[in-house]
Amino acid sequence: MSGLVAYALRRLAYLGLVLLGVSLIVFLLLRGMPGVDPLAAYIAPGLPMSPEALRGLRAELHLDDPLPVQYVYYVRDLLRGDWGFSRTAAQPVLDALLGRLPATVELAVVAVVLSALLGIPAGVVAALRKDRPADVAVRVVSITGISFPVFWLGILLQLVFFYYLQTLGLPSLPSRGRVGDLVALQYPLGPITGFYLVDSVLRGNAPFLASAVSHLVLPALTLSLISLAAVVRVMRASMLEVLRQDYILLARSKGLPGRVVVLRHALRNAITPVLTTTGTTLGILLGGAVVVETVFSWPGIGRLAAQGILNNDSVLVVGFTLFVATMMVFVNLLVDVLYAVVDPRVRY
Amino acid sequence: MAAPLVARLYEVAGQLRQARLAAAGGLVFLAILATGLAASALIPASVVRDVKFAAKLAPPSAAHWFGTDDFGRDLFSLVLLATHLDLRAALTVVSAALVIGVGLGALAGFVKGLDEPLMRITDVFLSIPSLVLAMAIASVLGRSLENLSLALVFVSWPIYCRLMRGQVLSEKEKPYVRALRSLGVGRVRMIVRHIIPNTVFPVIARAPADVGLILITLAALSYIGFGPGPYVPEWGSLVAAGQAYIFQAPWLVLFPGGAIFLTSLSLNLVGDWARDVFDPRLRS
Amino acid sequence: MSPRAPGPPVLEVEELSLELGIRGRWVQALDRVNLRIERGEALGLVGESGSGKSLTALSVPGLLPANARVTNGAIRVMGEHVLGRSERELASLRARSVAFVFQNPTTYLNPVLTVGRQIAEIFERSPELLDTTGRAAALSRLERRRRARHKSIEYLRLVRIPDPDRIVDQYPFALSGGMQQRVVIAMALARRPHLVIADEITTALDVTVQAQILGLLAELRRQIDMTLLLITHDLGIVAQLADRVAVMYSGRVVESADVRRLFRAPRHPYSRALLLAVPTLHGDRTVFRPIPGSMPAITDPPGGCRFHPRCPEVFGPCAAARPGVATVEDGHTVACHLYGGEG
Repeated sequence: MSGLVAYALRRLAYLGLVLLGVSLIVFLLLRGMPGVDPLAAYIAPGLPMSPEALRGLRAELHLDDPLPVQYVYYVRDLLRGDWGFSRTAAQPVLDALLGRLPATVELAVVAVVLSALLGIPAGVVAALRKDRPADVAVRVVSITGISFPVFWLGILLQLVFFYYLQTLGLPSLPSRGRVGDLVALQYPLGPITGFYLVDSVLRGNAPFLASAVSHLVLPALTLSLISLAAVVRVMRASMLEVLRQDYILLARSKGLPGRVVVLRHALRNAITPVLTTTGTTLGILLGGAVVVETVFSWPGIGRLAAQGILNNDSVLVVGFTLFVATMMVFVNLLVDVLYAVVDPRVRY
Repeated sequence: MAAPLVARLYEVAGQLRQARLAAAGGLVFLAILATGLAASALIPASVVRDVKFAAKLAPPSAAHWFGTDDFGRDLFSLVLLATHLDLRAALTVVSAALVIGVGLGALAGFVKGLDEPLMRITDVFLSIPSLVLAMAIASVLGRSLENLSLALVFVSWPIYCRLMRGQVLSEKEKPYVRALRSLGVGRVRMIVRHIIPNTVFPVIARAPADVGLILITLAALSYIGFGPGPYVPEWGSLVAAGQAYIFQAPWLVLFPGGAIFLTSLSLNLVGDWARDVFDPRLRS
Repeated sequence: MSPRAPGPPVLEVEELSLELGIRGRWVQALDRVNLRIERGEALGLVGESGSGKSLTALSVPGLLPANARVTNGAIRVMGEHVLGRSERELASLRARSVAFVFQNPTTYLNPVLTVGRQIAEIFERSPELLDTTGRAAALSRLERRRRARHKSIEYLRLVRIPDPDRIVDQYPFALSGGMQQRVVIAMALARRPHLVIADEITTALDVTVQAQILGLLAELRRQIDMTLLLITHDLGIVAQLADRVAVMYSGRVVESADVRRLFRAPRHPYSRALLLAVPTLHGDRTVFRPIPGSMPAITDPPGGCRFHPRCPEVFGPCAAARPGVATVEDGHTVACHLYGGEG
């Protein structure tokens, strides 16, 4: 498998360069914007600082040095884990992000899984029944999904499954937070991984698990909508392309049953574009997470960033950007490796 | 094996349906656009300051077709005014991004030395999710619709650049280009009269769908709080304002959100059809 | 030439007529094609591009493209009717009875599955191939896998692939064109089919590799008494491998005979012209004798005999009436007005 390892290392080196580029953009945003005083981001409005304190701050941030030198200090600090201090979180930026990361990851993972479970079969069926009613239905749902503003969907789902169900006296799905406040008090969970689903199973805490799951439903469903439409389209298009290939004809000529032809021969070839799409959709998902977390008051990094914006906390927002880019880079690496596992031609 | 005639029938019906849907979408979008333009001309801007607390949170009625918001303002007027603002912003963003992206992409395709650096730059931009990057840029620049639009332009140009570059590169390799060169056709003439027309249309075909996407992103950012404030009507911030009263007055959320949905849907119908028509793989 | 074995002919194509849907119209692509292959025999189906030979071949295992429809005729494999069968029954036929080898092995092998996997799945589908004692169903899955792999290696060896134990785990893109074609042949043989149809299998290969593959086929024919339908435009291949020849032109079989008789004394003007068109060396110079004109487009065929505009011996009835099939000798038929015959 050394071919795979070498490939992974090559991709990692390249992606490292990309991250460097991102850090440059982020740095320019923070320090290099014409007409914007870099110091402003570090000062809380309404909290006056003495001139000595200001000078000290300037020296600490190396603001009097030329930009390239500042950049070097900046990257050094990043690599040392010093991403600045966030007024909004009252914590160092990196700590604030890492602390809230599990919440977002849990949400994103469930959303991706949902969209794959629903989207891949839908795309395959639509391709097999091209232009027939099933295909039309799938495409209608898909195009509606893309046109739906995510935040609107979240709010509508809240309206129906929380407010209206309550008025009808039926049990409703919660609309805020990761877990019921009462449940958290009565059945406290000692965190291990930070992922409520995993931890509550590990600790055998059933009420917590139930509450966590019920809180996940609406936000995950909303978030999955974004990638669902993309997955269905790509799967369908890719499947149609593959079904036209010669090797499918050969497989049929061997007398293999249709199901085998589709699942083993066609799908394995057709799934690779879906994998790469997952990489890009993750980016959209992370962006969408900002919105969804705001709608559902989900305590993840997205909501923190949104709060940072309202607070003019540029250090946090910029740190969030870098953080998300780093996540994307690693996920893309994972996707590339998966691609190489599925399609052996790529490794060489 | 399905009877070949039946399969062909389904295929033709499918194409017809797609074309008709695209036409319907186009008409709807134009209607919305016209409404927006008319609204900005006919509805006085003072409506946003028309605060009448007595009439607040009134449901839809003959007097107020969409009801009123928590300030007692007519929601119908607000939504219509927002139409103009949102559409203008989205169209401007996409146009600017197209011009920049296509221009740079063409340069990358033709000028050997520019290709690598430009691709690395777009790689970096594309590795940050659009919403996040737009957030970062806008938060540094300051909260206003103009800054938001600027940020979105920054976020959108890389994709067009890459697409155009890819198209140019593959078009340059086509046999007819070499044939024309050997006949003595000049470089500039070749680029302007042959390569550009053949490559730019698939890229432009993405524009309608992208306008819808930018529209939603714009509204989403407004919703989070980037919006221009309660005195500038914008669909996203209208939804945000309405969320607090969602149970008593759901129309506050339904109508602005519905407007976004309808506009985006019509644009996507057109965009789907445009992409299929201009798909480079379908053209031999 | 192998002795005729008793039993029904492996393949009988009777009066097969087929239409293709092109740009909204149905055009006639095959016009009452008749073929017959006995057990152990190799029939060469010869013709230029567009003559209909591939369509004829594809209709046997029911692999016609979506825009084709059969308007008349019958096809029987080992005495069993093929046309009109359901997809499931056809799948059975393809799995055990008729094996198709395609032209370009590179595009016909699945790039993401190993060579061994693609052969082994034949045994997955038909486990009875693994076992000679009839107790195939009693084998465990693991045992079946093991045997399938073993058999796959055996067949790779049969088609003269060097180092089959290593090749069996390779992916198709790692193999040369010639090796890939051998793999496809192995996949055909693994099914122990009654009939192997080889459609231009050497056209996409280099000349030297071509010779190797043909040599392999000749050897296999001797070794395992293979019944072969060989489709080609190359008369040299026909001369090497076939027992009998059928010449097709524009959707019709214009002549059908024993291979030696056809080469020695072709009757149909087209067959004669084909043989003459093979470049020969006369002293220092190569002599080219092309057939003037080109095969008519199937959307716009000439009336009467389709060859008549290019025929050096065209006369009276040729432009008006379709020639019938005449038997000039035992086993030798011609479709030409020069020889009479009934339509």
